[in-house]
Amino acid sequence: MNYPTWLLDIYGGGTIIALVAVAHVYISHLAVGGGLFLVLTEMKGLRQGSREILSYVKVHSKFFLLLTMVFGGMSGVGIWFTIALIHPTATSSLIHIFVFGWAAEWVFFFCEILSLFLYYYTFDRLDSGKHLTLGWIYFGCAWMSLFLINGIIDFMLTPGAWLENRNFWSGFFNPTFWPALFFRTFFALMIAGLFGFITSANIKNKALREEMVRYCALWLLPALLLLVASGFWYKVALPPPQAEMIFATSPEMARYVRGFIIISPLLFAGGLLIAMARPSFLIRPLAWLLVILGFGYMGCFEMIREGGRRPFIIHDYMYSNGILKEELGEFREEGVLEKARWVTDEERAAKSPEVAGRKLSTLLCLPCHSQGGFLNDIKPLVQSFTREGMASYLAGLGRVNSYMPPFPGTPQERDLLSGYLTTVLTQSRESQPQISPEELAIPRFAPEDKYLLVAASDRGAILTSEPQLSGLDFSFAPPRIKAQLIQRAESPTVTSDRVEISYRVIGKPEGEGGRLKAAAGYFQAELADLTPAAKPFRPYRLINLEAKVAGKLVAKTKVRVGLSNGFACRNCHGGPWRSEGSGLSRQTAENILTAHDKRSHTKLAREHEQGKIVVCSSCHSDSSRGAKGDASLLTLSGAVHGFHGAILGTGDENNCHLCHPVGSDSQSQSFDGLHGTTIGLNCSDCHGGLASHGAAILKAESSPGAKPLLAKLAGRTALPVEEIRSRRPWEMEPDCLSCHPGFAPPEKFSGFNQWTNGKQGLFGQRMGEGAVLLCLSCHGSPHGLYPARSPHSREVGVIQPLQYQQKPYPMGADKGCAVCHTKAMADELHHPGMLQEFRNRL
Amino acid sequence: MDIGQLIPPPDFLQVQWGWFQLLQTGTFFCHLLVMNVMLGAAIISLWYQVATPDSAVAQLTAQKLPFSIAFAVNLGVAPLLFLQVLSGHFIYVSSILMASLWLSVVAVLIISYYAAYIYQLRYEDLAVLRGIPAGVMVAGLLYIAFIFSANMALMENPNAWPEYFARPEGWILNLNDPRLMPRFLHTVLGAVATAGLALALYGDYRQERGHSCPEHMVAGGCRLFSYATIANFGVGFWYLGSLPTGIFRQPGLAGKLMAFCLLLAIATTALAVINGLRERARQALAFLLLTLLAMTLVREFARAILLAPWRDYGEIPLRPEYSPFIFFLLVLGFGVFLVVYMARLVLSGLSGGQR
Repeated sequence: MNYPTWLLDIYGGGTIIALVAVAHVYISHLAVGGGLFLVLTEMKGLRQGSREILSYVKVHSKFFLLLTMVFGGMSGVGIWFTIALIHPTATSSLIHIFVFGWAAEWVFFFCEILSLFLYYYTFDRLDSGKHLTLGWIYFGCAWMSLFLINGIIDFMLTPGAWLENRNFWSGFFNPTFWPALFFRTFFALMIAGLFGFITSANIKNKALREEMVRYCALWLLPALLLLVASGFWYKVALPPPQAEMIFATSPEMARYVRGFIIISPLLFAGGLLIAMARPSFLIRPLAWLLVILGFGYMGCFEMIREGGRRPFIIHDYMYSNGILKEELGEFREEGVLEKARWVTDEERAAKSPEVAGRKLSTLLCLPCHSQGGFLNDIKPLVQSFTREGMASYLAGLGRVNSYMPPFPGTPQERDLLSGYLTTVLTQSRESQPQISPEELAIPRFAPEDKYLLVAASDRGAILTSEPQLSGLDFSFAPPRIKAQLIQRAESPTVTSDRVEISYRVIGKPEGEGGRLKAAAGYFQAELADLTPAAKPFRPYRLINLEAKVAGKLVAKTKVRVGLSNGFACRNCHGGPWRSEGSGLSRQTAENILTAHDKRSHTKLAREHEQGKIVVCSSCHSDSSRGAKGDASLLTLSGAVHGFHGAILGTGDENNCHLCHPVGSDSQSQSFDGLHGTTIGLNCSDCHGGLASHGAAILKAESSPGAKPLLAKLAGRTALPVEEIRSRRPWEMEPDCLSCHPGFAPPEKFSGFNQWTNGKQGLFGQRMGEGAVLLCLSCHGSPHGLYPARSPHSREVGVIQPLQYQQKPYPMGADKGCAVCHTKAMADELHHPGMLQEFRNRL
Repeated sequence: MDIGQLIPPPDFLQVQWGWFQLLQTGTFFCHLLVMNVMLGAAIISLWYQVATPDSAVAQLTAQKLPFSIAFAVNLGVAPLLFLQVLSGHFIYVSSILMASLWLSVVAVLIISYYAAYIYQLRYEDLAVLRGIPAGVMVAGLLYIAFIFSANMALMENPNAWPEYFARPEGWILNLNDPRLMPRFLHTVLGAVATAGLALALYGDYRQERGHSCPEHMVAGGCRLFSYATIANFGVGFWYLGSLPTGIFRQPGLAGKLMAFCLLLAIATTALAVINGLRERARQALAFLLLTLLAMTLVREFARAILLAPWRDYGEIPLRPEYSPFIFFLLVLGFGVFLVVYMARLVLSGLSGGQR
C-alpha cells in the first residue's frame, strides 16, 4: 500500500512474472547443471582420448555460453526488475532482509561470467588440467549462486523461525532449504541432459552422435529419479498450511500438481526412447520435445511453489497485496484508502464505486489479478455476483477460500469495491422485485354455520430448486397441510368422527387434489408434487379444502401453502433467474456444481451437463426428506450453512436473504408473518446469524468435515462456539416459549440457542394446553403467523381469520372465543393470556 | 498534493547506512568505468564501421564488446542492489511510473547483447552488413542509457510523481525535466571519451608487448578522449545549469563537499585532457579515474541534496545483524582471490603454449 500500482490490464495477474520467471529459472538451472556437464564431458573426452568429444564440448560450451550468459543472465536482471515493479513492497523486504545474501550471489555471478569466458575462449589454448580447473570454478560458482538464491526463494514459502527471531540465518536456512537445494540441483542436472540432447543430435558422426545422446540420457534419467525422490522430501518438509494449500485448498494448484505428475514419466520415457533412437530425424524432434517438456515441468514446479505461499507473498508475514499480517487490524480500522499512500484526496473523499471502488480494486486486486487477461482474470470471477453477494463474499474472504487474503478495508470500502467489481468492471444482474398484488375472494362463513375448518402448512415457507428444470435438487421437504374440523358449540369439539377432508389445488395443474389423512387430533396431507406458482409468480399456492361429515359438506376454506422457487444462489454463483425474478436456472445450478467440484473434487457438473438431476441429499443426508446420504459426510443443512457461514460475512451477520427469499429485495418476501412484518424481527433473532446458525448445526455433526468449518466460524459467532448448543436441522428449531415463557409477552427478542427438544416441540407439531388445537390452527404457518402481510395479496396470509372473524388476527383474538365457542369465555383454556387484547395490531 | 505523502517509508538496515553508501559508491564507480567503455566502444565501433568499414579498430572493438556488456551488466547489479537498500523507496516508485519502459530495458538488452555476439562471431561473414548488428546494438544500448538516465532523474524528482494519477500505465518519462537531456548526453559523451582512452591504452599495452596494433590507435584514442571530453565540458555545464538553483549554496556538509568534488573533477578533467592531447594515455587514465570518482561523488551529493526534503538516512530504522555482512566480505574476498587465481592460471597457461 506504499507504492503505486502499475496498471497492466490484460497483462496483469502475474502474466509477466510467470513468463520472465519460468524462462529465467529454466535457463539459470541449465547454467548450473550445464557447468558440471561441460567439465565431466570434457573429462570423458580426455579419458577416452577423443578429439571428437572434446570438439563437441567446445561446440556445446558455445551454445551454453550464448544461452546462459546472454538470455539467462539478462533475464535474471529481468525477473528482479519485474518483481520490483509488481510487488515492490515484497521486493524491498527481500532486498533488505537478504541484502548480503544477494551481494554474495553477485560475487559468484561475477566469477561465473569470468570463468565461463575463460573456459570457452581458452579451449585448445590451455593445458587440460588448467582448463578443467576453470570449468570446475565455473560450476562451483554457479552452484553457489543456486545455493544462495535457493535460500532466499524458499524463505518466501517457508520463513520458519525467522517469523519469530528475524534472524538472517533462520530465514535463509529455512525449513525447506535443504530439500529444495537437492531438488533444484537434480533439476539442474536433468536440464543439462535435456540441452545436451539438442547439441548431441546435431553431431554429424553417427557413432559419436549415438554415444553422446546415450550419455546425455544418463544425465537425464538418474537425475530425474533423484529429483522425484527429493520432491517427496520437499513435500514432507512443507509445514502443514503450505502443504494443505498446494495439495488440498487451492483449486488452481491441482492442474500444476497433475502436470508435474504427468510430465515426470513422460520425461523418463522420452529419455529412454531417445537413448534407443537411432535415426537423427527422430532424435532431433525428440530432443526439442523433451526440452519443451522440461520447460513445462519447471513451469509446473514454479507455479506450485508460488501457489503454496498463498495468500501470502512471504508466508505468514506479508499478504500478496503487500499488506503485512500484523498491519491488518490497522487497515480494517482506518481503511485502505486512508492508509494507502498513492491515493488522491479526491479518491479518498469519493464515495462512488467508479472512483473509490476502482482505486480499491487497483490497490487490492491488481497485484494478483488481471482484468480480462490471460492469468488470474478477475472478470469471470466476479461477474456472477450481485453487488450484495460480492460484498458478503469479500467480507468472508480468506476463510474457506484461504488462498485469498482477508479483505483489509472497512465495511464501507467493502461495499465500494463490490460496487465497482459488479457494476463498473462487470455488469451484475441485479433485479428488482416486480409484484402485482392480487385480490382474493374470502370463503363464506355464516354465524349459523356449525363447523369451522382451520388449516395451515406446518413447514412454512418451503423452497424448491425445481429439479426437473434446474437439474439440481436441494429442495426442502414438500409442503404439508394440517387441518382441524371444529364443531361449534359452547363446548366445541375437534372432530374426526366420520369426517373426510379433501383438498384441491387452485390453478395449474388443474384438478390436483386428494384427501387428508387422519392423524392424532388432526388431518394432514403432504403435497409432494406441488409446483410453485408461475405466471404470475407467487411464493405460495392456494388450496381449497372441504370437510364432510358422514358424506355431507359442512365446511369449506382456503389455505395458503408457502412454496417458492426463490433460492437466490445466483447472488454469488451467477446465472440468470429462471423466470420472472425467481427460480434456479440451469446455469446457476451448473455454477454451483462447478464450485462444488472445484472444492470437493467431484464431477457433478459433468453429470449435470449430461442431463442427470444431481440430488444433494443422495450424499448429504436430509432428515426432512428422510434421505440418509453418506454418513461420513455433513448433513445437507450442515454443509450448506457451515460452508457459507464460513465464507460469507465478517461476523455473525443476518445475511440469510442472500440465499433465502426473505428480504424486501426478493420476489417472494416469504417471511411475511407477524414477526417479520409487524414486529420487524429478522431471521437471526431466532436462528442466530449465519455463523452462529452454521455452528449450531455443525456441532451436532459427526462428520470429520465439521471440525475445520467450525474452526473457521470460531470467533465470529454470537456466543463462543463451545457455548452454542448443537441442534439437528429440521428436528430442533428455536423454541417459541423461549421468548414467550408461559405464553407471556416477550421480554427479549432472541430465540437463538434455545432449541426445541426434538420434533415434538416444533411449532408445526405443537398443540396448545389441553392438547386440543394445533398452534398453527389459530396462528397460521411458521414464518407466516397471523396477521401475515404479503406484498402479493392483502388477504392471502390471513384467509381464515378474515373468513371466520373478519379481522386478520389469530383465531379467537380480542376475546373472539365465540368463533368456536359461540359465546364469550372467561377461562384461558388454550394458553394463558389469550383473553387479552391482541397486542400487535396492524 | 503533499509529495511527502507519496514517499514510502524506508525498510530497515542491517548495518549502518554508511557501509551501504560506501558499497554503492564503490561498486557504481566500477560499473561506470566498464559501462563507459562498453557504450563508448559500441558507438566508436559503429562509427568506424560506417566511416571506414574495414577498420581494424572496428574489428578489435567487435571482438571485445560481448565481454564488456557482460561485465557492465554484472557490475551494474551491485550498485543497483545497494541503491535499493538505501533508496528503494524512491527508485521503486520511479521505476513503476515508467514501468513499461523500464522493463523493456531487459528485452532491449538481450537483443543488443545477441546483436553484439552476432557482430563478433559473424564479423567476417557479414562483410558489408556488419553495420546492421552494430547499429542494433548501439541503438539498444543508447535506449537503455536514456531510460536509465530518465529513471534516475525521475527518482530524484518526486515533484513529478503525481503525474502517475493521470497516467498509471507505466509510460512516464518526464521529458519536460530540463535535467534529462544534458544528463543523458553527458553520459554518452563521457562513455565515448572513456572508450577512446581505453582504445589508446589497449594500443599502448599491445605496443609495449610487441604485438601488432592498428595504426594511430594510441594517438587516435587519445584525441577521441580529449575532444569528447572537451565537448562534454559544455554539456556538463548545461547539466549543471539545469539543476535547481541554489544546489551549491546548500547549507551543511553535502553542499560544500559537492562543490569541492565538482571543482576537483573539473581540475582533473582538465589535466586528463591535457595529457590526452599530449598522447600520454596512462597519465590521462589516472586523471580520468580521479574525475570519474569525483563525479560519482558529485552525483551522490547532488542526489542527497535533491532528496533532502524527503530522505534522511538517520531516520532509516536499524536492525543490527553483522554476521551476514561479514559473510559477504568473506565471499567478496574469496571472489577477489578467485579472479586473481584465474587470471594467473590463464596467463601462466597461455604463456606456456597450447595443449
